[in-house]
Amino acid sequence: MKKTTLPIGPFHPLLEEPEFFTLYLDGEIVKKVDLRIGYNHRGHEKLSTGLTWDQVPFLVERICGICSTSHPYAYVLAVEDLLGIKAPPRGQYIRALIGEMERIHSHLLWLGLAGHFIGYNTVWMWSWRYREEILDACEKLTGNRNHYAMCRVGGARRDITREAMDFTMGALDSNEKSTNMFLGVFADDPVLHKRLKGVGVLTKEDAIAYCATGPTSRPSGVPWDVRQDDPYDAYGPSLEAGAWKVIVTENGDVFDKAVVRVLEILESIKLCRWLIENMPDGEIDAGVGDIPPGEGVGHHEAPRGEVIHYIRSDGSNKPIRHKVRAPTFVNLPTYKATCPGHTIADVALITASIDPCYCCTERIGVVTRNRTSSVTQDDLVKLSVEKTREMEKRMGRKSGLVKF
Amino acid sequence: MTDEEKYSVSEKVKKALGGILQNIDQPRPNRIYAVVHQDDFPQAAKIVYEKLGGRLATSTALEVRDAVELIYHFMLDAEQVLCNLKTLVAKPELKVGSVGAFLPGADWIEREMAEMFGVTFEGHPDPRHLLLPDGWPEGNYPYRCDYPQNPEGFTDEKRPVVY
Repeated sequence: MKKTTLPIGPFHPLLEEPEFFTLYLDGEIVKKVDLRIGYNHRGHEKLSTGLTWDQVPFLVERICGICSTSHPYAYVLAVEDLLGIKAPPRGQYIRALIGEMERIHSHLLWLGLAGHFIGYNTVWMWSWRYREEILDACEKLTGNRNHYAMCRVGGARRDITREAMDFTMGALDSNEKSTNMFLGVFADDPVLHKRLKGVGVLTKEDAIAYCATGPTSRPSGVPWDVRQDDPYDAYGPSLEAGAWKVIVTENGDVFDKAVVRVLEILESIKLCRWLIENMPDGEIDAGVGDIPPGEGVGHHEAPRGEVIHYIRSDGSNKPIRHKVRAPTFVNLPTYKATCPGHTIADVALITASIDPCYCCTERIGVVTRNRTSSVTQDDLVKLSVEKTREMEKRMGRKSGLVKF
Repeated sequence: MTDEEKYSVSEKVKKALGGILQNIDQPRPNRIYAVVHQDDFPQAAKIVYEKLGGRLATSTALEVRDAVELIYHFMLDAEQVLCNLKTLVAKPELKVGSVGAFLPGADWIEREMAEMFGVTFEGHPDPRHLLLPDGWPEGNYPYRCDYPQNPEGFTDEKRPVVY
């Protein structure tokens, strides 16, 4: 039997991040997958040991551009575990609210990309359009569309206003409608059923063996969700109140992974509403002083699965060890179980189905003297022409640009 | 799960690990720290994974004076307790049995700890580099405390990136 080896990467045609796949093929069928990572290693764990306890959240927030609150959330939970304290109720609720808003917009982002990957660009454009509403609500709540900087050891960094919460309620209502529409698309569209069902099945045994988490393991019938398994902050009370539930399905294919994410958006919307309605008054921050020697573990259910941080303190103002594990680290190796037996075209889908983490920025804002203003498209074109002219001048090249 | 039920989990861990357990501590209801000897480590991990239904969240390596401390964070999802299994791997041999040999979820993290801290995991199914390139000079472990910030003796092509 003749085997073909197909290298894909490190600049991946679909994913924005560098990864290197080696597919061992028999004809068009994938027999074995090998993957290499490490093209994007930034040494956060080492950098973190050079920062003070309160500076670390800002560093770990920048590990990921989409689930930007998950890492600081897990970190502050780890330090609070070391200290043996809990944040005041209002701080807990604010952090959980931001975490859930992030889950909604992250899942909508993935849904759009998934639509794009299967050539269903209507889903892509619509879901990103509906994602904007949530990002606007995030901006109203925290001041930023991403990178909210709301987590702080001992509580939340800033309070949120009643006006912003009312605005968020409106965004959630309109988002619920559009998410229900997407659910209808997945339930009814025969194209999606044909393309996604039975592709990349992750069995329950494999999900347990590879220790997969989040929306990668839950479609395979493994009900692991840190929010339920180790309730922290406001997640315990909200579960007791029956405000939301963990979504688990049984098939483990790409279709189920998509459906789980859409249903999770609906659950997160319910949870956000509950959090806003039951938002307690009072302090947001416990006022933490020195960090004593010791160790602590904190984990948060990020949109892609469990984020876990471990910290060790020697009593100084910096951690001596800070371990970070993002969900994609355990979800990526599941390719070894899901890809064999499928065609190359399916592999593209399967690799996207675990939602490997992307970073993105989407809008330009310029700071004028007193307020922020947006750049119009004409301004953007003008600026980019000026930049090109400037570069040409520096390189001593003649301008080939059409005059504007 | 009430706190009393969670505190009873350490008894369960004690019973399952039996004689190989050196020390166990439960500072908070949802956190257990269990220490075993490095020779018994893969066996203990196997018991926590198979008998107690632990899900390996990740593992941490940490350099201490004359050893590297390994902490495997097993989440016992049914009991709502995080069980941290610890061992000290003595320098300078730094050899310990591999958990990745029977638990695919430990494969990558052991490769990372091997290249960053120089711990050899005996019986690991795939002992290649994970994050560092294949041509990385031998004996250079970037997360060790004694790793020089500006290492001498490297040619320009082989010099590790220094920020």
